[in-house]
Amino acid sequence: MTSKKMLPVRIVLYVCGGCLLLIGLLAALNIYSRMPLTGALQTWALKLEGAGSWWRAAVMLAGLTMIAVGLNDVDSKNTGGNALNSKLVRRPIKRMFPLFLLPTFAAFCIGFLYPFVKGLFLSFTKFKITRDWEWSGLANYKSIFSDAGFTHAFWYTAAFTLVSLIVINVFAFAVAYALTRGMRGSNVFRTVFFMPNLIGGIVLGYIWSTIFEGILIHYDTSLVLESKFGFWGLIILMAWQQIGYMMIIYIAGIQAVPEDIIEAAKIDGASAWKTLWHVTIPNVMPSITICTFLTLTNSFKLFDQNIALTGGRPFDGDIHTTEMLALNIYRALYETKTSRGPGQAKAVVFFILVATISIIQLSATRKKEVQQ
Amino acid sequence: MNSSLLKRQRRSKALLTVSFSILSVVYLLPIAIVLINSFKSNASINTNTFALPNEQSWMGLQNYIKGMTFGNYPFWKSVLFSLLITVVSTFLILLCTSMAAWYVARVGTLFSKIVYYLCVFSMIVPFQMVMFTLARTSDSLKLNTPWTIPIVYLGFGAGLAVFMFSGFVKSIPLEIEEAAAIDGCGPIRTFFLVVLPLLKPTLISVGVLEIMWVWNDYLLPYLVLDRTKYMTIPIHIQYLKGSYGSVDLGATMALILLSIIPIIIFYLTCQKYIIKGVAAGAVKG
Repeated sequence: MTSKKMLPVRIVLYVCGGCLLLIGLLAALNIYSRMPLTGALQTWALKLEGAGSWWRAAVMLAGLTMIAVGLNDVDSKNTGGNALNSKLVRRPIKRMFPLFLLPTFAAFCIGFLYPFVKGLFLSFTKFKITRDWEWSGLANYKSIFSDAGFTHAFWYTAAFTLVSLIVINVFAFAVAYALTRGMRGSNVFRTVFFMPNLIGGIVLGYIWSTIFEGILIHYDTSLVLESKFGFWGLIILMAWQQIGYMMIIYIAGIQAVPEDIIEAAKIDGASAWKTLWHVTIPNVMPSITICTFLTLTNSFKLFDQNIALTGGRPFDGDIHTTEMLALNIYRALYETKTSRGPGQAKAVVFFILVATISIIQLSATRKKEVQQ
Repeated sequence: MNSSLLKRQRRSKALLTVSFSILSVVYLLPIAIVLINSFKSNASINTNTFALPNEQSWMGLQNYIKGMTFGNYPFWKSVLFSLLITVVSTFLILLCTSMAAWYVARVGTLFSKIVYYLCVFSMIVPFQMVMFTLARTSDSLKLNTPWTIPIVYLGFGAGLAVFMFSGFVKSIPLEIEEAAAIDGCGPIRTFFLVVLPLLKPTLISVGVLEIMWVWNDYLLPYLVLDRTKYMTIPIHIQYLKGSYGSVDLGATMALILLSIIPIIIFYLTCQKYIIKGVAAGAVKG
């Protein structure tokens, strides 16, 4: 199928769209007021910069839409499926571009794309309010590695992630395995174990801090006095919340293991333990992949539970001993008296860490899956 | 199999049931503790957290009455705002992203492909990365009210939803839509009368995930909403803990219980869908 719009038309669209996008972006990042502009150009640029945010957003969105309309007429080469060949379905839908795709795309730009780009940009600057930034290159990134609070939060998060990963997955698998043995009332148990998952992190944190304080008061201490209580408290909280969720995924995995290979193992004289280890576990490897990935990122990104349970207390000078990365970033952005730049740089580092974990972990565990 | 082996198996199964019953009770204890403590006086919660209320510490419904206006912000307002934001955001996300996903899956242009990969990319970006700039942007675009925050939720939550929907759309046979087109259905009618009903299982899964996310979300509404005017339940609870919670534990316990009850009702009525939705959402990544 050939493109509807000719190449020159599309080039005009790209150029105009790109210009509009650039004009809007430069205004949104307040770059005009730093450029040596003169005369009418300066007046217009400053007018746009001073205009309401809606104007800048509209200019940028208009530019993006023009580029989108251009790109929308280029067929993607390796699109799977047969939709490409069906003029009957494809052409009429394509005309509905403004109705079907544009609203979501616009919201996506406002809610994700623009904040992402601007966040990336601001991580290289010194700023308190976004309008008054000052370019500082890699200084923010250099400063965060000598920030004791951040490195502590990193190792604390890593330790917490590792322990919670093991605890949650071992228990969830054990529970799932027991519940698939055909015992009476397993549906009720499933319901019970899953329930804490629906309670939000803040409420959970408050419930458990009440319980822990109730216990610790008898030993004349408190959750916020010793960091080890905060650590294990958070592990217990997370286990309570997440075991049910992971259990559901494991149950689905275990139930999908074909009955006949288990039978075959039994007939060959394998013990229950050996069947579990050599037959069931290799066959639920996809579930294990998913659960490991989920617990890893859940623990790594933990914020609500952390702030509600201990809020980083006890404090040891500048170091908040039970503070995880997300909370550290939050404080660096919102509770700083100087520049927010280092906080935004921490956020970028955090993003890179989370993204790398997701990618590495997935590709590493995928290899162990049994080929079906 | 001989009968003694069968008997042994039956006995071990009964043993499992008994031990899991005990485990379930232990699992529910934290919620029971909140329930018990919501009827107790403050002093008793502090020192005897696990004791049942006695004549001295019994407060009746006083904690609940006090909790309603506690902390200079009426609790029912937080509940209403939470409900409003959750319902509108979920509806908006389901409608817009299912349309977008259908478009992306059926129109194989470069742009729809770019949108798809951007959505996948947004799934691995943690909220902290865009937190500050998103809050500033939505503030300056006046998206900081409960009526407009659904747009922010749509934008930030579009990735997973588009990903899940388009995965499902690809499995729908194209012939159905072609038949609809031959019978004279335009794209809008085809989508709402043919595709959307077929998407029902995914709609429920995504809906459950979005409801759970938006209802429990703390940081996004905390940063985006104008906190002097609007609070949601998680913001309210955290606000109480920060300032009033240590002063009046009883009232806070009552509010916590009140905020859990809707979740439990929702869970018990739609349990089947919730568990299915969660299992489906887990495939992300």
